[in-house]
Amino acid sequence: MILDIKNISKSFGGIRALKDINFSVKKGEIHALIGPNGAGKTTLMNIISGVEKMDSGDILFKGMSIKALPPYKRALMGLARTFQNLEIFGNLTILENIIAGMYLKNQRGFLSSGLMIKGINKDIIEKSSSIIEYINLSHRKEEIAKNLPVGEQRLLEIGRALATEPELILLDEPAAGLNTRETKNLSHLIQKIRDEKGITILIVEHDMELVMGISDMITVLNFGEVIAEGEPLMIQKNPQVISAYLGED
Amino acid sequence: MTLLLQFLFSGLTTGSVYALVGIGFNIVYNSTSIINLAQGEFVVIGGLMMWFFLEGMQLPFTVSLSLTLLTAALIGLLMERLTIKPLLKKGDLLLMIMVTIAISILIRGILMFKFGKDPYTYPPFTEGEPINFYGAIITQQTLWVIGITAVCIVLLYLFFNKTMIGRAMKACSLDVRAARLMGINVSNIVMLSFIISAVIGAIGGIAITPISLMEYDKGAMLSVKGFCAAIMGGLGRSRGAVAGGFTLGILESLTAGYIHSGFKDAVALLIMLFILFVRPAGMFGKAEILKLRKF
Amino acid sequence: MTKGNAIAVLILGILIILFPQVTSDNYILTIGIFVGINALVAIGLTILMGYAGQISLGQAGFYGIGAYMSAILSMNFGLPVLFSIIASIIIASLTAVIIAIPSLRLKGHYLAVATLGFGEIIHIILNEWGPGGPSGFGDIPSFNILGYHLSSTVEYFYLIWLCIIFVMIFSLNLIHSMTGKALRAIHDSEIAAVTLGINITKLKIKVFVLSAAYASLAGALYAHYVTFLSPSGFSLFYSVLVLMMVVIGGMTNIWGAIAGALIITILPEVLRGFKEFDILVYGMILTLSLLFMRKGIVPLVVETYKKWTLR
Repeated sequence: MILDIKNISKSFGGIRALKDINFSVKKGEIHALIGPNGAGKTTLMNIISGVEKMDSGDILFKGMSIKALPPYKRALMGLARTFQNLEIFGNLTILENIIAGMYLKNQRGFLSSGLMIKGINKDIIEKSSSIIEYINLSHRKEEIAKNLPVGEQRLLEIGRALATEPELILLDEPAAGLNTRETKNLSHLIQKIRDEKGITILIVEHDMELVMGISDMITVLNFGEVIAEGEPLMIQKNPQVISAYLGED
Repeated sequence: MTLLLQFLFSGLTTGSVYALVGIGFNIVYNSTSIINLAQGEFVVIGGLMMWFFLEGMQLPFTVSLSLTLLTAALIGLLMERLTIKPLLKKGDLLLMIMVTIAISILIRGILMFKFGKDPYTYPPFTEGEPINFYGAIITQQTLWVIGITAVCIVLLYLFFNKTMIGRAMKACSLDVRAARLMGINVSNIVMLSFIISAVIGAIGGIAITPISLMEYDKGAMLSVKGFCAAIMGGLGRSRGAVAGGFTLGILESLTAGYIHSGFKDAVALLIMLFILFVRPAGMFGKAEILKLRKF
Repeated sequence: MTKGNAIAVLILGILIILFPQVTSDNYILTIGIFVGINALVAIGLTILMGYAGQISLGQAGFYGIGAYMSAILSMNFGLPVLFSIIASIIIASLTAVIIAIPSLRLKGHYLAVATLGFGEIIHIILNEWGPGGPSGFGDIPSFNILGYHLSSTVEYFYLIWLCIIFVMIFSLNLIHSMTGKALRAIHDSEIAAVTLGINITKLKIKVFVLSAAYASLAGALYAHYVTFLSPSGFSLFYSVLVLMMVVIGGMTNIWGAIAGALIITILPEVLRGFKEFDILVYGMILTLSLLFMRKGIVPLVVETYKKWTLR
């Protein structure tokens, strides 16, 4: 197990957004977190990455509790993420976005940066370029990120997460705003990341076709509670899940 | 004891102006979430323009008063229409702060060009003997300042709670989008908030000038102190700004009286830093996220 | 540093060497010195504002600490000027750390007002406790190194612009390093930066300290050049002037700081005889550039040049 979510609870102004959540993510798998709107998926993503605090519970990453760590230290341990409402570095080029992602593994002090002892060397540029190739954005390399269409911004966020050389990536609705073709490419990319790089993926997504197509394991949340867990085929047949989704409409 | 009373009254007088500037900050903050660092300049505009109409042009008091308030309102309106409105949509907090600084320099420049560096004053509103209050000497103008501030506070309270426009402004400060959906013209509300806060500042300047004189470069410090008053009471809460203004005025006058007059200005700065660092929500306010509102 | 910047630094260096050969007019050289001093402060604020996205209205405070500390240490404690300058930079930097830790948790206008408050407190301290109080003090030792005293305006011109060359090289390297990318990342999205493993608090504090160090270096050089100090030059208005330089020159490019310093420093000289126009013109320039030229001069020139060469 690479990630263990243990008894996590969270309330917003008296309303329980997450109630005693428990589940585990197996190393090397694509694990999906699904559920109707307002089920608490994004809140959970924020809590795991550390940008939001939980009320109680624990998070084990690679067997160690990370609940007391600030987000940047979680990233240092190998946890990366993307954002549902895109948080790209808009004024930087695609290449610079990826280089910023590589900061973590190539940190320099202020003094050595200013004196140009080990600046951004060829190695970093090459690595960044290969990541950009990996996410199929080579033709956009020098463009300013905010000018990209949404679909490519989503890819860029994934690329930036890859640049930190993580062991686990949290993908928060990576297919939102993508057309069918883009979604298909995305699903290939996610599988490629798992299969070629061996990176574990925890994905929150509404697109059921995508989720059912790529996931090894699915956890279903509804009103802040885990209502089902299992392989895609099991989940599709689960009456509780069906009613949760039908109940929404 | 007499001395203490004297200090308290002089503190209340300057505190009145801080309170008015603080309220001005709040009104603009509530409608735009901008800190208008030019707020203090309107006090200077009030004092100097009043002198200009009253002494310079020898106009009757009421005419001068109306013209001064009109001038302030017009400057507030121009400031909003020409600089705030075109930039607000960009949603860049840094830019908005800099614009208000730019306007304050611009106003100061115009005032210096017109009035030079000399301090100005004019006679108190009413002639007459100062009042002896348990040994403390209270001039009639002091009572005017405090009285006018009180009237302003009451009128603003009535405006924001009893009139349609006032309520619309309040609605905007709570939720811009909802207000817009209700058919409120948000852009006009923003403009109005700048006009009102300009006029309130000018009123403070008009009232205080016979006591403390007015010169072109007083605005920056007044802005700082008004802001201090506003955050003491929790930004956005007008009653808080009043309490903050009076408290600050009294603390200043006690410092000047008992410690050293050179440290008078330091009081506001230290209180301000203390609140910002320790309790950004003010003494009675609640914490809130600081972001430029979306328009 | 990129190739373009390296060439630009080289050109700047040549210009600096040539300038006193072209004109030996002491008045013009003196203005050149003040452009340099202001540029040092502006470079620091550019990195802070344009790259890390943090505002400061308290640069006059650090400028003042640098000037007063170096003057007092060399005058009253007999420290050699070179050491008094270094000591004053260290003192200003430590002050910056103390201010930065609580300040940088604040955002936007709160940060602006907090730094403004700090600057004004320094101004009051200089007024009340500085030697000579509001009227200031003189007889500050001039700059000397290894027994050699700088006396002519030309020598000071070279000294100050040499400092700028070093500061520019350091700053350009920094901006084009990993750290520089991280700073710009913070500017665009703090939340994304932090989830990429960037310790944003630490970086912000470091940039703030860097800007304070540059400002205090400028202050110290100023003190040993004019050999007379009074608090009036270290008020809020100076902080606003530096802000103007950064905005007008263009805060997304540190060369903008030098361009901005040049314009704002020369302006009052051009307006000589119209003294009463000073502030009005400053106000108009700042307002107009915020309204119509938000990018600032240098980024605009660079953009136009790029478009022109692409054609």
